[in-house]
Amino acid sequence: MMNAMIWFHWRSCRAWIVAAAFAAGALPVVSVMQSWPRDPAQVPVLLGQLDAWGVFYPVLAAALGLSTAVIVWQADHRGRFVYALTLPVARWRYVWFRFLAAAVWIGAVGVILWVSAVASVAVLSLPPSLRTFPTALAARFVLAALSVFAAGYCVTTLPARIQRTLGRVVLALLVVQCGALLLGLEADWLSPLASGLFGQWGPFALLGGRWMLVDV
Amino acid sequence: MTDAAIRFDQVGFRPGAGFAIEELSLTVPRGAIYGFLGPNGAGKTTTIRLLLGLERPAAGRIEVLGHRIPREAPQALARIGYVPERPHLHPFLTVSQSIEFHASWHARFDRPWAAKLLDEFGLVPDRRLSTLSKGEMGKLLMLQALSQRPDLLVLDEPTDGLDPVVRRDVLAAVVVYVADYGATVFISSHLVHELERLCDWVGVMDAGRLVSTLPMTEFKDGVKRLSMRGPVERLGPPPFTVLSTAGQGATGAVWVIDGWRGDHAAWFHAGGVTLDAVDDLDLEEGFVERLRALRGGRSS
Repeated sequence: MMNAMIWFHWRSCRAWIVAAAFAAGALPVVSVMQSWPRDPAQVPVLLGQLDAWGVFYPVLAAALGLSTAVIVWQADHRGRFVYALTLPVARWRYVWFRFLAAAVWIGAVGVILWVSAVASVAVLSLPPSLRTFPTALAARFVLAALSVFAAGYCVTTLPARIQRTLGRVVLALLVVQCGALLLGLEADWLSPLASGLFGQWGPFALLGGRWMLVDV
Repeated sequence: MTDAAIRFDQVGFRPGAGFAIEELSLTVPRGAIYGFLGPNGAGKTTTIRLLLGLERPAAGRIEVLGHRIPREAPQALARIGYVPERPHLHPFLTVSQSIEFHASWHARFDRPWAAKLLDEFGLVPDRRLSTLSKGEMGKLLMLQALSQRPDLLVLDEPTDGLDPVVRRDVLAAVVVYVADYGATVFISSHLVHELERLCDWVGVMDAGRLVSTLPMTEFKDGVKRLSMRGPVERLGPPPFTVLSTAGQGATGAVWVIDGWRGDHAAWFHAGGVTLDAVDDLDLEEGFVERLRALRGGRSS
C-alpha cells in the first residue's frame, strides 16, 4: 500500500517534484559559481556572497513544504474523497500514508540537493580557513521542508469548516494590524507571532539563521 | 454470523435542511440481488453512503456482512465492491495504472480476471481516464469492483447514462459474477425495467423512507389491474388494497390493487359486479402505482 501511495504521489504531483528537484539541484551549483581566491583576506567577501545565496535555501524549503501540503489532497478532493474513503483502510492510516508518501518525495528533493552540493564543493579549491557543509545543509533543508509540510498538512487535513474559520482569524489579524499601522498606533502583534514561529523554540526555527554551504 | 448481508435498524440521518432519513429498517438477505428503487432525491445514494460508512448515522444501527458500520467499515469495505453514481477515479491515471493502484489496496484482487474483463470490455490499457467516454468509465468502474472478488456488490445507478450495448455488457458481467460466486448485489436505480430482469428482491424508497421491501415475485404478482362492470359503488370494504380507481358503473371501472388472490373474484360476484379482466402490471407500473397511492395517502 505504501509503495502504491508513493507512486501515486509521484503521478499526481510530479510536475511540482521535478520543479523543486531542479531548483534544489541548481542552487548549490549557482551559489559557488564564482572565483575562489586563495588569499585569506578575500574570505569575508566570499562568505558575504555565499550568505546572499543562502537565503534561497529556506525559501525553497518553505515553498516545497507548503506547496506539497497544498497539493497533497488535490487528487482526493477532485473525487470528493469517495475513492479514498471506500478503500479498505482506516482513515487515520490513509492520512498517515498520504503524509509519508509526500515526505518521501521531499526527502528525494533533499537527496538531489545533497548530491548537487557535494559535487559543487568537490571541484572547489578553497582557502585553508574554509570548510564545506553539504550534508548538514541538505539535512537541514529536508527537516525544514518537512516541518513546513507537517504544519501545512495538519491544516489541510482539518475539516473545511475549521479551515475557513482559521483563515478568517488570520485574515482578521492582518487587517487589524494593517489598520493599526495606517492609524499610526503602536500595536504590533505580528512580530511576536513571527518570533514565536521562527524563533529558537518555534516550529519553524530551522528556517531561520544562516544557511551556508561553505563557512569558516 | 448473521444471514443478512445488509441490515439497517431504525437508522436516522439528516444530511442537511429539508431532507432526512428516518427510522430506516432494511434487510438484504445474503445472496440476493436487491433492487433499490425510488425517484430522484428519495435517499437511495444517502442510504448507500451510510452503508459504506461514508456518513455516520445519527440514530440506529447498521451492519454490513456482519461488521458494524461505521466502526468496522475498513473490514467491511475489504469485502465490498462499489460502483458509484458519479465516477470517482483519478483522471490523470491510465486504465492499467488505475487497475494496478486499486489492486494494491485489495488483498483479494484477481489480476488475471481483471485482464480478462479488460479484454472483454474492450478497454485500452494505455488510455488516460480523463479521455474515457462515460461508457468506458462505467466499464472500468465495474471491472475494478468485480475484480476485488467482493462478497457484496454495491452499485449506485451503475448504468445511468450508458448506451444499451454498454449497459448490457456491464449487467452481464454482474450476472456472471453472481452466478459464479453467489455474491450479494445491492443495486440502486430509477431504471425500473433494468431491475425487473435482474433482481430477486425489491425495496422502494421515497422521501427518506423505505415504503416497501419484498421479493420481486410478490412485488409483481400482488399488483393487478382489474377491469369490471356493474355497481362497484355498492361494494363493501375490499379484501385487498386499492391503489387507484378510474371510471364506474355500466361503462366499466378499472382498479389497480395490491394484494390480489384468485379467490377475491368471488367477492366481486357476490356484489353483483362482473370482473372482465385481471391483468398483470410490470414492475414499473406497479412501482408507480404504489408510489402514487402512498403519496396520495400521505397528503390526504
